Amino acid sequence: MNTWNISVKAKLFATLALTGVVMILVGGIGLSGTRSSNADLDAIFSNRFMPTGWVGTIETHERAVLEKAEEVVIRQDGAAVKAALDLLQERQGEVKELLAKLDATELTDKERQIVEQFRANGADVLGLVQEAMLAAQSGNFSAAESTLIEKARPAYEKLNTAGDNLLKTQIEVAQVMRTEADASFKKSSAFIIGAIVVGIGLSGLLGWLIIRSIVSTLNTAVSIADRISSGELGNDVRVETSDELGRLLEGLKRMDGKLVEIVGGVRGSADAVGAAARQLSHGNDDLSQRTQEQAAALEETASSMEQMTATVKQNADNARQANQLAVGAREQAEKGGAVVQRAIAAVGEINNSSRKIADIIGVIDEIAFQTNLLALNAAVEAARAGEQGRGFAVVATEVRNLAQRSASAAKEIKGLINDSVDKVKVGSELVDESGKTLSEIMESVKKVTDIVAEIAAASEEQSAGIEQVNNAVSQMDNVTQQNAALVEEASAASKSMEQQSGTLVNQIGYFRRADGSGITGSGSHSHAAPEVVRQAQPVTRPRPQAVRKAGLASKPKAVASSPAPLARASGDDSQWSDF
Amino acid sequence: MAIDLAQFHDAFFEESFEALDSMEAALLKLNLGAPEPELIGTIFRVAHSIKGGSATFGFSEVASFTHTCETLLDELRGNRMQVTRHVTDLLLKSVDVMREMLRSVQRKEPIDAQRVADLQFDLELAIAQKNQPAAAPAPAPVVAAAPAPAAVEAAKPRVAHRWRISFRPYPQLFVHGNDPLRMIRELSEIGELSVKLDGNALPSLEALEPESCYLAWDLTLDTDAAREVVNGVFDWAEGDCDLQITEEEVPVQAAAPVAATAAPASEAKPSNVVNIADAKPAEAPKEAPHPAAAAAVHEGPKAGATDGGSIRVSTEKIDELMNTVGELVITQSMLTQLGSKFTGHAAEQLRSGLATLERNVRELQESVMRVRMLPISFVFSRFPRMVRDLSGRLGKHVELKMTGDQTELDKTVMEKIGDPLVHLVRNSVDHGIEMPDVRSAAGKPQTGTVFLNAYHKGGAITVEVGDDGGGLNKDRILKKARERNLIGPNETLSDDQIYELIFMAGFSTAEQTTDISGRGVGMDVVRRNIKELGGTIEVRSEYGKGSRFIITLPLTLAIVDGQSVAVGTETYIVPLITIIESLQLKQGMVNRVAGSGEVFWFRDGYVPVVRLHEVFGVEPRTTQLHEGLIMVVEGEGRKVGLFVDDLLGQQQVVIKSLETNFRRVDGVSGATILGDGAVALILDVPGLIRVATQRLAA
Amino acid sequence: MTNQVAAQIDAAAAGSNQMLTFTLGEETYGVDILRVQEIRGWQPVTRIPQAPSHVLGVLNLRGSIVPIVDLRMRFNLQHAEYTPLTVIIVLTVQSATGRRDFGVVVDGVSDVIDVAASDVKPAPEFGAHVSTEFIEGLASVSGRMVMLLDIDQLIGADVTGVALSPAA
Repeated sequence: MNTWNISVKAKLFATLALTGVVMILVGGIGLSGTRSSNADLDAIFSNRFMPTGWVGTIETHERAVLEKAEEVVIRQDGAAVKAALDLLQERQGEVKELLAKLDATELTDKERQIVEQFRANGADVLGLVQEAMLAAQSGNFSAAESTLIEKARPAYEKLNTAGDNLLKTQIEVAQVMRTEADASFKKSSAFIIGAIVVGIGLSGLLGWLIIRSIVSTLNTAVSIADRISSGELGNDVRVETSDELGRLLEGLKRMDGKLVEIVGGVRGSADAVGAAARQLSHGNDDLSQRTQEQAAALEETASSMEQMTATVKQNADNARQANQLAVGAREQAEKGGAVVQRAIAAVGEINNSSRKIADIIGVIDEIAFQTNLLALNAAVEAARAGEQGRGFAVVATEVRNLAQRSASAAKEIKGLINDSVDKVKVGSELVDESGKTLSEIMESVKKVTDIVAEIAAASEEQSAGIEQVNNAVSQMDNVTQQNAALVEEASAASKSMEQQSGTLVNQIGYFRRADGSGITGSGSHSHAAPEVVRQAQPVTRPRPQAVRKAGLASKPKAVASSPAPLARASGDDSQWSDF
Repeated sequence: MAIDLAQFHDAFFEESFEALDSMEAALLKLNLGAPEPELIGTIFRVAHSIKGGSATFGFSEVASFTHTCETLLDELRGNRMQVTRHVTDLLLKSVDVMREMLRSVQRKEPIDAQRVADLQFDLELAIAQKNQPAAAPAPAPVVAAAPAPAAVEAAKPRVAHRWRISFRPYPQLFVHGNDPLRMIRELSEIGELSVKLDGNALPSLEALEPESCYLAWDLTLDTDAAREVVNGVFDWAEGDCDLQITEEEVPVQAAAPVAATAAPASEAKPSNVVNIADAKPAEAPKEAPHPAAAAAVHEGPKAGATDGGSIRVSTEKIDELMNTVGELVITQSMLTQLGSKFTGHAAEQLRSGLATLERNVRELQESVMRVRMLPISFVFSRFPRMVRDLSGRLGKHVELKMTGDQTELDKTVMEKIGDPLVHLVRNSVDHGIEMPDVRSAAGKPQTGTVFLNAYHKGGAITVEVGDDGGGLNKDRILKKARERNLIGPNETLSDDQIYELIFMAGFSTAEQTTDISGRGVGMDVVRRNIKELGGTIEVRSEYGKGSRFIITLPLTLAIVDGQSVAVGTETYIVPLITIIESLQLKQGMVNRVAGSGEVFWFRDGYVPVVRLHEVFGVEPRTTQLHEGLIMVVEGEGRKVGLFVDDLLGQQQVVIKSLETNFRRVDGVSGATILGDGAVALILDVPGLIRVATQRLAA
Repeated sequence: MTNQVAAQIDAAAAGSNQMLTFTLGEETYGVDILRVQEIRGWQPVTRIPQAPSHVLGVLNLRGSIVPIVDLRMRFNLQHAEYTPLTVIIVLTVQSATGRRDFGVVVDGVSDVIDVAASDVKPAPEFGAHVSTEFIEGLASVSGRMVMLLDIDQLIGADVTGVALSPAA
């Protein structure tokens, strides 16, 4: 078997190489036979066939020139001499060329002799014609004629004969050559057949050996794969070769091992998912409970808000009433103020009158003063008048007394008036003060009215605010309902997930060990998860109890009692919005 | 009539005593042997006035005695008697006696008749002894003392009389202050008068003596009046005329003794006595009788009680009247102010009434003011005689031309302008007019002309005294001034400054002093007098052609045209005549000059600023020069810018003296009473400038 | 002036003399009634430059310009306000330069009294602000003491300025 440790690729490559060598050998032999026959054919064509053509052509040219010259001589046309000479010249060149070609061919000695004969004869013909033509040119036609007939014609006859000899020789040579070719063909054919037979034999042997080694290994691989597909894992795979097939077996072995590992992992995970789904389901139940509790609380809030609205409305009414009362008080105070104003005006008039009286008294005083002065002047005049003025002086004194009395009376009145003016002033000050106080009261009342009005306005605003709060609460209720529905959905989803995880575990159970034992989940956490779930459950237990106690309203009970589908929840929604 | 006349007794006595005082003074001044005719004239006038007055008022003893004195004086005046100590003693005694008599009459006490008679006898004796050729003086007093009884005796008929009066004045009639026209007018008031003028004695115009009377009248008077009344008309002409009064066909030769007595006097040539009071405007004895009132004021005794057209009123009374009118004006303007406050229909009437009142009051004020005004002819009238005398004595031919002698001016001004004018006229005749041969040589007419011209110009009167003589010789004045060290030897002076020199005290260029002029006491006195009156004098002269003195005087001393200005709360009056221009200074126009205060550029020189509020120590409205006003005023040739708060208005104000009850105040010429009754001070611009300058110097 | 005084004394000796009394502060003064021209109320005056401080100014008295003297100032008393009730007494003085009128501002006019010559006693030396040279005598009238003023002495020099202003 060791000899077969060579890779499959190398084995195939060696077989194919042997077959190739045989083929090359056979082809080479055939090719050389073909090439020699072709060479023969070529020799026949160029050395035998072609020269025959060239010989005929030379003869034709020679005769054309001869005939031309003869024509000239016959006609004795001096003018044509020239033409004849030209033709001679032309044909002479062509003949030379052909002769050169003929010289280049493989000729046998015999042939060479004949060709030399031929060449000489041709040159003679042409020389003689030229001689004749030169004579004709000089007018000596007769000489020319004689030359032609007597000498040229015979030369030409000789040429003709030489030519014929050459042709005959040629054909003879070609005959010989054909016979030689037949013989070589027969030899090579025999060799080729022998080579082919040897090659086929070798190839067949090699192929059989190779096929045999490959098929046995592949069969082993197939059997392993079949076992895996049937869920049988952990197969014993022996690998004996290190070629490609050996590596195939190696790979199958690794696949088997890996699958055993993976199935174990999946099994563990499925167990964990199952545990988590259970937990989730429990959580959702809990959430549902709490949502119901929230809804109940919201209901309570709404009823409280209603009560508050009523209180605020009453408050606003009270404020309005207070405002009306304050306005009334203000009007009263204004009336009082007007009365005080009138009082002030009256006092002012009294004051004015007093002042006028005082002015008048001042005038009286002034008049008294003037009278006094006048009387004094009168007294002076009286004194000047001497004895005659005595009586007048007495009168003047009387007038002065009167003036002084009126002055003092005026002073008294002035004092009284001033006194009354003072008193009036005090009175008017008091009135002014009371007016001021009244206006202050008015001011205060005005302020109170303003404040009360503000309170009323604030109450209005407050009730509007409560309305808004109400709206917000009902909106919150709606949202809570929706939340409950969503929680139920989530609960259902977690249940289905639990189921699915059970299914997964069952399906994973398909895989078993080749030794007959089952594959368990890998890692310790697959055991821990159920622990958690079990611990959480006692904590959540009392909750539903509390919820049930708190839920006063009957309607949410339906929602809370059973996880309603979404359609049901939305049906309840309309009922909630009525609240 | 007697009651009426008694009103004037006081005035008469007062004037008489004053006159006697001046007579006494004149007598004392009288040089024995060479009596100044002016003094004798003064003395004579006094006696004449007292005689006339006492006769008018019926103090016959006084009149009689005075007449004797007058006779003696007339002799003296006519150089028919020598002035001896005896005579002057007698006359002085006479003054005492006259004073005594008048006092007795005034006190209504008996006259010491014995003493009077003794002295009268002595006087008559003196006349008789010293003046042999003269007619016996004795009859005169008889005629004077009691012409009436004789006449009454002669013409007793009770029916209407037809008096035929032949009135032939002697040439000197005017000289004695008699006015034929007045007499004729008086006669025409007594009855129906027909007048026939006898102009035969009129000489040709060249020979006509302007001061002589050439005319005679034949008058026929149909009247109930007795002869004594007719005679009384001619009382004052006795001795100066031939007077015949006859009744019907019976000619009465009552005036014969008078004629005889007066005859010698008429023969006397007009002496060189310059008799101002009696002189008459020469040109127009007929056409231009004096306004009666003016004459009455000025020459009361002459007019006499018989002149019903005028009365003698003392200036005091006129002043009182003016005061009262002034008060009236104030009251009126007060009422006008008050009236503008009323409204309504009645107010319109009130206002038109007030407007009428205002017009009337103004007219009244002007009338009263005019009462004080006299034509300047009273001054001019003395010049013809004076010029004639002077030219005669100097041997020059001089003609006097006077124009505008009816121009009126205040009596107080007139009293003071006489002497300066006399000086100027004298100077013109003495120095101005050349000797006839000199004049001929200079191609001028031999007779030189001295002219006097008076006219009103802008609230002032301008009097020009000029001549066509040689003019002022500047070189000589300069030379003289240098001799007397009045100016430095190399000082050059403008024409005006040179002319200024002649007004300096003690300056005369006359080569020899004459008794007429050239003693160098003329021109400075002239200028001082004029300045005292608030006037100015100015000289224009052209050498070889003559010179002219132009005197500008206020029309009156009682009124001034003033510009009221305000400084703080006070109002002051600036005489318009001193104001050159009022302007407002802009900031930066005033320069401060060390030692001379603030000055600003005005016209062609720097003018110092005088802050009135500083000078008078009042609180001004502003001390910023550009906020108030500057009033450029001129006094004594110096200009200052008076800084005041504001200009108020121009008005004529009555000048009241502060000195009457208070005293003179520097920079203040007097006070006046404004429309609201308040007192405003009138600025004395030259005095103010002096005060301000002293303040600056101090 | 001595004549005047003599005449007054004569008059006083002849019988009774009338006096116009006025008050100035606490004191009562008297002037011969014949010297009184007029009594009138206060009126603003026009100031006079360069005048003594007690010469308040001048006033228009019926067309004549009359200087006004504040007697309080003259006697160096405290200055009092001028009111419409302040009184001006227009007096006549005989000065070296003649008769003059002037007004004095006093607090008030009291009375016209008859003073018998026997009631007038010579003035003793005063410790008061009024030097005796202006006091002619003292009179006691119904229990009140009246100082009789010699206004010629008191005012004459002031208003004429003889002693004060050499220019006059």
